[in-house]
Amino acid sequence: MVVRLRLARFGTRNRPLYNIVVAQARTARNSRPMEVIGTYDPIPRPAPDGDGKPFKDIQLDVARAKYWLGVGAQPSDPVWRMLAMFGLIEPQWKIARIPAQQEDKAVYEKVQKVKIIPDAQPASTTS
Amino acid sequence: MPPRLRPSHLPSAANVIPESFSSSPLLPFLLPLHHIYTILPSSSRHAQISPSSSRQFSTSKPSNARAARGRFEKTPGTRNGLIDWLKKVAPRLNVPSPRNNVPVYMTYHNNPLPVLQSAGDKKKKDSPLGFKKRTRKLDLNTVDWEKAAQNATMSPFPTNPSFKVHPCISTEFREQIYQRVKQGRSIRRVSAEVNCELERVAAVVRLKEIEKKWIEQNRPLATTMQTRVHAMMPISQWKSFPQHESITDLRIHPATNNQLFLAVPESMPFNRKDAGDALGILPADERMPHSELIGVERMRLQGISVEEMISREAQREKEEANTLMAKRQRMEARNNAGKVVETERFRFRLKPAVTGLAGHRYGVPAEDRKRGITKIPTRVV
Repeated sequence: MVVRLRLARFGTRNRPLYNIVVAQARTARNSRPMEVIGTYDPIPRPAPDGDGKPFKDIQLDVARAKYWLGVGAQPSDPVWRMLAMFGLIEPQWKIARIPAQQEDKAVYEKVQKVKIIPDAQPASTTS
Repeated sequence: MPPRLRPSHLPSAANVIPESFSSSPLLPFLLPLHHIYTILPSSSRHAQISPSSSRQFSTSKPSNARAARGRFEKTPGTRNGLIDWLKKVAPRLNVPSPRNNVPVYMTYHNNPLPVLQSAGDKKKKDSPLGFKKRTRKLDLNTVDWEKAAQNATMSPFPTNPSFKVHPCISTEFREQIYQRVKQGRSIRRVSAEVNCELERVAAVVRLKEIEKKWIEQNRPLATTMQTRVHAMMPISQWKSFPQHESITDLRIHPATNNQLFLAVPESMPFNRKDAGDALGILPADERMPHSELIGVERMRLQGISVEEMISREAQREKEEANTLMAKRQRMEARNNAGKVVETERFRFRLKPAVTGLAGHRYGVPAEDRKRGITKIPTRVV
């Protein structure tokens, strides 16, 4: 049986909360999972500074997620999207990535450098 | 800032404030606390009305509540009776009906609305009008609204004298509050200076900001509304010693609504702090607005010099500002923690978690509210 990384719905009516779980694919959605590796709150909260986009919180144990991906666990579509945001797998569809925070700065600079090289090549070929 | 003078009607204080501090912004701190509760002569328009009866902190119903309820019990036919009464008796009582868009409660008054000096003379020459006729032909342009504001009493509805209102603050009063806050003083300090509640000071500042913006944009202000309201209600005027309301009233905490019985040794002292601990809330001294005034009063009783008091107050304000700033920074740091991924509509905040600690309800939701699932166990393990 396939092991999946998927969401389990908690909360009440109209107020969902999700656990990101590792579970056997054929077990019930809310049955006891093999492991809970994170949470997802789908209800957008207003921006803390008053203006800007509302935010949603995703918590994930990245190390465990990596392990389960390594041993062949298959993420469901929503979990795939989240794992892609964490940079663990390639996104299935294009999502806008804005590395805004300082801890991602190094990665951001690296990406910028990678971008510069192909830009330089056509410039040199034309001249 | 105008020099602050001690009003003559206040009781003399034990310690006299030196003249050099008469213009100090800390003066309200330094004055004895009872000035807040000073009751002005009842004839004065600025007389403070107590927020409630002597049972200020009690939430239980008064003992005569049940009797009162019984007396006004709804009886069948009351409404029809009123309609009959209105038809038969009311026309003879000369009850005025609203005319010229002037509400009845302003015209139906023993003292009719004051008329401007020039307009009044002209009218008198035309015909000496009786009260009833004058109300019918009331010209709003000839009403002296400033005088009307001075004549306003605590009860805006003359036919219902038991309906009392709190005074509102005058235009100048509001401007003074705004200017003080604009000078960079804290809301707390301004509130203590002008004897207005913290919330009122904050509201005045917010509304003043909007007003200034509207004046800049040449938007019309509802000044007509203001003059009419001021004509109906008593107004606290700005004075050298502003006085509007008691600023140290303690709000009722919901935790204190229920009775709590606590066994305490007879020899043990039990003070407000212990009461707060027992209820699981902060003690009253810390919960009340302007708890810092307690410290000031304590210093005064200890006989600490005025200079020392001012320096200590300044130090305390500085520390308070610092802690507030630190709190705000911590909150910002918490909000901006982790990586942020921005999509078209939302920002996703990605935060680290630890397996074993993450997740709701140990990974299994409680389904005991679902249909068909019994809460009572049907098996013995």
